[in-house]
Amino acid sequence: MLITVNDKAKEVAEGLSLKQLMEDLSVDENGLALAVNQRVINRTLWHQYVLHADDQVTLFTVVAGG
Amino acid sequence: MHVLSRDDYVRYSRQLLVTEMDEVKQQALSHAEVVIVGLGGLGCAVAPYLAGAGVGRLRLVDGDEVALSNLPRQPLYAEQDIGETKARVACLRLRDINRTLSVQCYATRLVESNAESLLNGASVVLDCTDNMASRQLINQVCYQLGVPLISGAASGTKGQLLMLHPHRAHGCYRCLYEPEQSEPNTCLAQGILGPVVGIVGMMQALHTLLFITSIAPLNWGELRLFDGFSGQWQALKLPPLEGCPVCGEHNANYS
Repeated sequence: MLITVNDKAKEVAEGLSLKQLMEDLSVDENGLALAVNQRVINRTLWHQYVLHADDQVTLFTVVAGG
Repeated sequence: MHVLSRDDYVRYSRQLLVTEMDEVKQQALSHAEVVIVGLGGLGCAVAPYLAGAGVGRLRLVDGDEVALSNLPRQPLYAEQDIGETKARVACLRLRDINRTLSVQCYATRLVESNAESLLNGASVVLDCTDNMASRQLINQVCYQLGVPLISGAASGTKGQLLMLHPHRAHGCYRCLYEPEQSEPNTCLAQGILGPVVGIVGMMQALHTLLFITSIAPLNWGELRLFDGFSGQWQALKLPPLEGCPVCGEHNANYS
């Protein structure tokens, strides 16, 4: 199925969880947060959150400077 | 009802000319008390605009001293201020802008032992700090006190703005980030372009004025991401995390 990650189309397996997506993307998870369809999903829920076709995933980094 | 002085009419004439503004709302600004925690790039953007707009009481909190490397993005300070405490210098500059205000400065770092007394009684708290620990602490104490919090953050070419109201149903800073999460984007690690942090600070100032005057509703519980390359903002909803140690009780009935 097709989803988007930061506005770029990506083909992923049916039933993929957010946790698996993050592992697929090989990103440093510690400094990251994400939203699906403009709704922030807390990192403790990534393993149980199953993606659906056309979901829009937004990855963003922790920003704490000022 | 107390009316504005002749000088106030002149001073605030341009913002009073904004269709939605009036004398009562100007008075709401003069009766408000805003706490600004952190007087770096964010605080330097926020503070002079709030002082200029006539926010009656400002509490400034920062334990740092002015350094040469601050000057590109912290325009409240000048070369002769290097080595002086930021809170004291900022206080003097703000009084130069508007002597009708009460500006209190606290040249101390906000920590657990002083956080409640520094934030208590505020109309709104502005998180302008530069580290995860302070941000988590401010979020926690604002929820304890029931004080609205407008949090800004910036590093590199990215900015984030988060508006939190403890009495509204949405997530809090702890629902967004865990205290253990690392900060790959601190100024020390990644640097910062001055205007990026200035833009986020300006948004904090604007939303503070909108909130105090009630001239426009705020989107509480919204996280906004700013990209300095494209100039685009993106808005995300922040739902509460079930069982959140900070806002869990406030959001027990969230659906």
